[in-house]
Amino acid sequence: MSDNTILDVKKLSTHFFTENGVVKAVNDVSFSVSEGQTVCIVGESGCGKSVTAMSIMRLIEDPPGKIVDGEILFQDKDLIHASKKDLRRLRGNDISMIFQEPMSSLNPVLTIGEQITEPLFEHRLLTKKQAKQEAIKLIELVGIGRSNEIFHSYPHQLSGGMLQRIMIAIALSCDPLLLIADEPTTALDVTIQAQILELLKEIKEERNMSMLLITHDLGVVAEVADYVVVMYAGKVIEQGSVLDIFKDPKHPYTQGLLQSKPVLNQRKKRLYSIPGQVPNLIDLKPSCYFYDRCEHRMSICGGSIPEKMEVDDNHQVACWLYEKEEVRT
Amino acid sequence: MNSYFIKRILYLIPTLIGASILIFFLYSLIPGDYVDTDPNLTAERKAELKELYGLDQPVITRYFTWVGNLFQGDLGYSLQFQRPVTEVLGNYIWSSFFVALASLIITWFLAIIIGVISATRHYSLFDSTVTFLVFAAMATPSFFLGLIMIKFFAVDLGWFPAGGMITTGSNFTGLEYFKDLAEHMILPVLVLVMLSVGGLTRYFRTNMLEVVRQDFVRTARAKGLKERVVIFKHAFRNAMLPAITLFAFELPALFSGAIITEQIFNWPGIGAIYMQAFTVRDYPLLMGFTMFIAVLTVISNLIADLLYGVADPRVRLK
Ligand SMILES: Nc1ncnc2c1ncn2[C@@H]1O[C@H](COP(=O)(O)OP(=O)(O)OP(=O)(O)O)[C@@H](O)[C@H]1O
Ligand code: SF4
Ligand SMILES: [Mg+2]
Repeated sequence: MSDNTILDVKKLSTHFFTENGVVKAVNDVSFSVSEGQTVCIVGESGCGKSVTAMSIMRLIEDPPGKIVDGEILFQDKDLIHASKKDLRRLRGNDISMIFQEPMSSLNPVLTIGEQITEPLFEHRLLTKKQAKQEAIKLIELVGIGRSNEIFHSYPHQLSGGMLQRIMIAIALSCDPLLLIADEPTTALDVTIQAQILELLKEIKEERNMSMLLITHDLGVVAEVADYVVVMYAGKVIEQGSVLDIFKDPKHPYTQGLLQSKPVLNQRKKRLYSIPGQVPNLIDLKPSCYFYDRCEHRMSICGGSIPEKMEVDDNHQVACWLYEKEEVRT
Repeated sequence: MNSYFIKRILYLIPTLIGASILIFFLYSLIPGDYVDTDPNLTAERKAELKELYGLDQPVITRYFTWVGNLFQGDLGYSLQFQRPVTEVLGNYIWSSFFVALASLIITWFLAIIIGVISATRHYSLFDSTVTFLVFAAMATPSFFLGLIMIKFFAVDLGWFPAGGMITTGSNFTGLEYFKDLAEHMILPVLVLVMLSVGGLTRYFRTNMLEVVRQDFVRTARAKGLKERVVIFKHAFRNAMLPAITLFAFELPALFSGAIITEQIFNWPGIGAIYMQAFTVRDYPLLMGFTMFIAVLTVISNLIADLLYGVADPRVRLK
């Protein structure tokens, strides 16, 4: 990868050990994010996007979850073997995260002010007065007026869009190098979605921050991504620059996604109309996981897992269609 | 907030009227009364006594007399003790109250600590042990537990007295008296704590487990806060909210006595008196006492609401 890579995920596998069996939620996922870059992870519900993000934050609940294999390097620091203390220093400081549900992501019994200042005390060691000033600045930065009033109010007094702005403010409070946003606009109204996205884009550019944005909305991808990782059933099935993915999608699943994508710049919540269902992540067979739904399937697809391969510069796909004849047979 | 408070107090009136009607008529519907229980009385004497106690009056009249007296703080006249009900209650309620208060405080203290630790170490050996003990304690009947305690601590080890409230024939004063009282209290309190700590521990453990799974706890962790802060500042406060209501509901229980435990430890509390009153049909005492508990319950409800409002900003600002 390039020199200014700040996050490097290599062959990450995160499994959940449940009563019904092992859920292979993330299965051999590799990608990287470089300085100032926006990487989007897309895929249907349940394909492992959130688990990937939570693994990077090392917030997977253990038990039942466990990172069973792979490496996560943040600025060459190994996050999988980092101590609890080191992780705590990174979280909310160098890597921040915002979540899908702004309504439930803030503590209902603490004021907005208390919640914004927490990381400021923890990581930047500000005094009470400095922290308050900083918090007010942050509230204004994310585009909310009446900052003083907001500082003293409780989450239930604000709308979803405002709460997501507050979440962004909290995430930005310690100048992170990487912001992970897990479907930050899914729970919001369409107009608010656009505003939040715009805000993220602006801030990102202003601060030259890197962003890992998770979404199942290709409209969002088209608008903000530099690089796209397409996931399916816990695996990366295709990844490439936003141009490659949109102009020259290789994997039948990516092609399907784009086909069902409506007119450019028009977002929709559910755009997948590829027939069939995602396989159960518990008993995956050694085959292409898209086999049941694929129009191009061949005999080999049902019998062994396609490896990821380079089809173009920085454009990889995992599909037997692109394997050389002699390997296929 | 103020108008809300006034409204809440006004709501108490119909509730209490309803309670008084229910209590009075349930007792007056039961055939027979205190006078009927004594088979040695002649019919004439019975009629005389009934007139004296007002039992010959129509039910409605008796109800209004009773309610009228309630308003003056008069809970009625205990036939068995031949003294006002308030006086009887005053004599016995405090001994029940102190046992109940001690066990309430200890129970809550233990349950909160064990429940929270158990929840934060979900699946650990500590958690499994606690869960096992909780079920064991909940499954043991109070009389059995009480007798075991007496056998073990009072008879075999001789550490504590087996029953009563003060050493019979003793004439302690001041600190000595207090020490004697405390020694007598230990076993009944221990039994009450053991009986109730299990359920409450489970309650806190469940609450805590539920809260720990919430999104805002994940946010707190994602901010890089220390686990201690995540648990106590973010999770614990939220887990305690529903417990406020529960706590307020326990207040009337402080005054209602523990019937079985008091019986076993020969504790001169209100629970024992209550049982006695049943056997001799001392209805004025029973009615007065039940009404007293009803009033306490209603007040506790109000306290619960107010406390909840203080603790939960979502309620506070409505
Ligand atoms: N705690 C858990 N225990 C068991 N299985 C889990 C757990 N958390 C996630 N999973 C499983 O992991 C898989 C991936 O979940 P994940 O939340 O990453 O999906 P997602 O791609 O983020 O979907 P969505 O778009 O709905 O958010 C799912 O099949 C889910 O059932
Ligand atoms: S490997 Fe086969 S089944 Fe899978 S996507 Fe490619 S062609 Fe379709
Ligand atoms: Mg998700």
